Amino acid sequence: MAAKKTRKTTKARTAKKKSAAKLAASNVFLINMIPKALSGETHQDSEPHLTVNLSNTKQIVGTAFTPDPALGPNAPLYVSQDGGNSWMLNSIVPSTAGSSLGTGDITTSFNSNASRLYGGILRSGSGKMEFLRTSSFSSPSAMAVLKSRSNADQPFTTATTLGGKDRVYIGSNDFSAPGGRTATIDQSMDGGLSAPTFKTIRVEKRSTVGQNGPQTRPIFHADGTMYAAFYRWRTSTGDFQANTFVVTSADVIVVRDDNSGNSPQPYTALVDAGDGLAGKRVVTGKRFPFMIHGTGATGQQRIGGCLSIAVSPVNSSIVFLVWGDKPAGSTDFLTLHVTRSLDRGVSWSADLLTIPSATNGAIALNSVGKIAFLYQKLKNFRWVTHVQRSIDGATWDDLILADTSATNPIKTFDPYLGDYCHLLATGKDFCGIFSAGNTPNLANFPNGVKYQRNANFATQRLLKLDGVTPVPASVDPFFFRITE
Amino acid sequence: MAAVPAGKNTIVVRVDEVIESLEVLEDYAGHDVTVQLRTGRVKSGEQYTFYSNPEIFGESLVVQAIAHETAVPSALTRAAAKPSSTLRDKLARARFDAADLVVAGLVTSVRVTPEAATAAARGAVPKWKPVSEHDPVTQEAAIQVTAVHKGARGRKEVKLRFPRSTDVRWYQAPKFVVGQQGVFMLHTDEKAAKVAVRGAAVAAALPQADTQGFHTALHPLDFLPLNQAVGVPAMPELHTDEEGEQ
Repeated sequence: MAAKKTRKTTKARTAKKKSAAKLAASNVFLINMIPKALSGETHQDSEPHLTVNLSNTKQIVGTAFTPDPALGPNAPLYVSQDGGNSWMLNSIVPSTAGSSLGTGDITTSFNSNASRLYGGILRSGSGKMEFLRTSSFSSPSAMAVLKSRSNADQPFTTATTLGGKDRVYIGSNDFSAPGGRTATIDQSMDGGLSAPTFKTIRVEKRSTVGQNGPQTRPIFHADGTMYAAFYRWRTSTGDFQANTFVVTSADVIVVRDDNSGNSPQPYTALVDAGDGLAGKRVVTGKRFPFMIHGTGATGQQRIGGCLSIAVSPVNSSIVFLVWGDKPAGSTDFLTLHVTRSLDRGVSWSADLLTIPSATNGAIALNSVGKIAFLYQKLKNFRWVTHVQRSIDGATWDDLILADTSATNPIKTFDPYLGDYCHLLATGKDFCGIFSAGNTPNLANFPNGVKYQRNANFATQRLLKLDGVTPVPASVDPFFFRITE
Repeated sequence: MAAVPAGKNTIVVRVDEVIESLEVLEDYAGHDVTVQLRTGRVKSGEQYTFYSNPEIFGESLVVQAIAHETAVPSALTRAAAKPSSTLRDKLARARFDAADLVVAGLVTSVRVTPEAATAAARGAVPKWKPVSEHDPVTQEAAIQVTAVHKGARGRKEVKLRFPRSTDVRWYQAPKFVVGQQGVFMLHTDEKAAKVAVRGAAVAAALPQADTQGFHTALHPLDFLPLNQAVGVPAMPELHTDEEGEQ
């Protein structure tokens, strides 16, 4: 008996060792996405997002708060045709001529058959939320505007192709929604039509303090299962304009639809046993600040909660969720929690990971069910960008992609790093994007980094196109790929 | 550049001089750029001036030439001390032309909008005011007018509304503080005012009347500090220190 026990323990240890070895064997590639032609740029390119063409993973599109460098009528996409090894800017996002903003909030998503790129933006100038599409993301033609409306925030886009039709889902916080139930998904069941229709679905079924949080995050599985996560704000205190606003009680809700969002009563498949209403309350009564601007104590980054949801490509019953709060008694501005459901969102685990003083969490699962979790943690006045990976949710490794100053450069606007960043899986590999200070110091990038823009790592100076004139540090988007 | 397929209208040009551009592009002299000609032809080895819009920024730059002509660099360079300054002056001129009222003056007060102050004093706080990170946080500034450069004369004071927010949507709009002196290019376009005064998220919380008839100055060049304003060659209208005098 004792011998058997020993063998079991040894087996378990060996498995853990193997798991750690597998995790450590990954190949990390990190690149500053600012192209050489813009070596002199100093803009705060924050709030990045990313999509990969899953039919041709060499085609990748990134976005950030980057204006058109020539103040043209369109804002740029970051475009890669070689799997992220190099990037260029192509200005095709509808904007306003002369706008030095480029675009407000922006997220994009390819469909599944490589034919179209979709996007959701808050347009420069009008501030309207607009849904976009192009069939040629690298051509100079502007993306078509499919729909436009006022009073919405944080469009979050995901698209796929099912039965030959593009399914497009854009989560948002729609202030025009009646009754303060503002968490919304706009969806088209055939986005490829010349004039597709979008149905607006209010996914909040409970009362709120007057609105939901800005994050409404939809995620799609190839079998037609849709999940979405959002915050239900229940009570608040303080003055937002005075930067004292606190959501004193919030629930994190997950909804599900088993027919691609096209059920007669969409997103009501998951019912909370506690109150019998659609939408599982994963956690309740959580508290966090919702800031108008970042401060020194928050590393210049404004804080306002955090949500990310991912479904296993191999089993749509397995769902991972990242949510943020400020635990009672904590001095941290935000703590991130990773939790998991194995039964289609009906029940959720205790924390698999708990990360204090962190934000911008993003989670993804690859084709063999491996988990990756991207986040940015404030430590000793530095923003440290981590990716933690796990095969089983119990053992996690920890890659540090960037470790950059949280005090330099000084922010030019809020958000300093962005209200989100992004991570996704392409087969077994992971691709992601985050924004960080761009001082060319190898110590800031412990797993290595490639710069396209002119930089001298010996003197830790950015240089203009002439290769001589120094350029001040700013915030840039960084793309990374982890080869499993 | 490899991203652009070669074609009969695609040429590679060695830049001798940048005449007008944003700062980020003004150091292209000596570098090759790919030019896509919209019209006309060029001869290899000849010099031209290209009027172009950048299209792709990658390993190098791709521009589309709207027009081109045989180069006359000496005439052009006389005016172009710095390419980005030339462009900035041009943009400032455009803001001047688009403005309804241009005044020189001094900011004497900055406060919350009177209707917001009144509502707060009455305790008439709306049941729920939408909270968005893109809230403009509208303020009202009073300007003591020292000269009117455009628009109806005779004003001693002008009020304008501006977003105090440092959110990405509003940070570039000038932020006014008491004691600031300069030239204010004011716009009363209703649509722009709606954007400036209300913002997407607070639309439901403010009465309709608040969105009409207010001056705004949203573009970074809508305010020029005195020392910058007097030297803009593209705006001779500003070369005056008293109302009506040139």
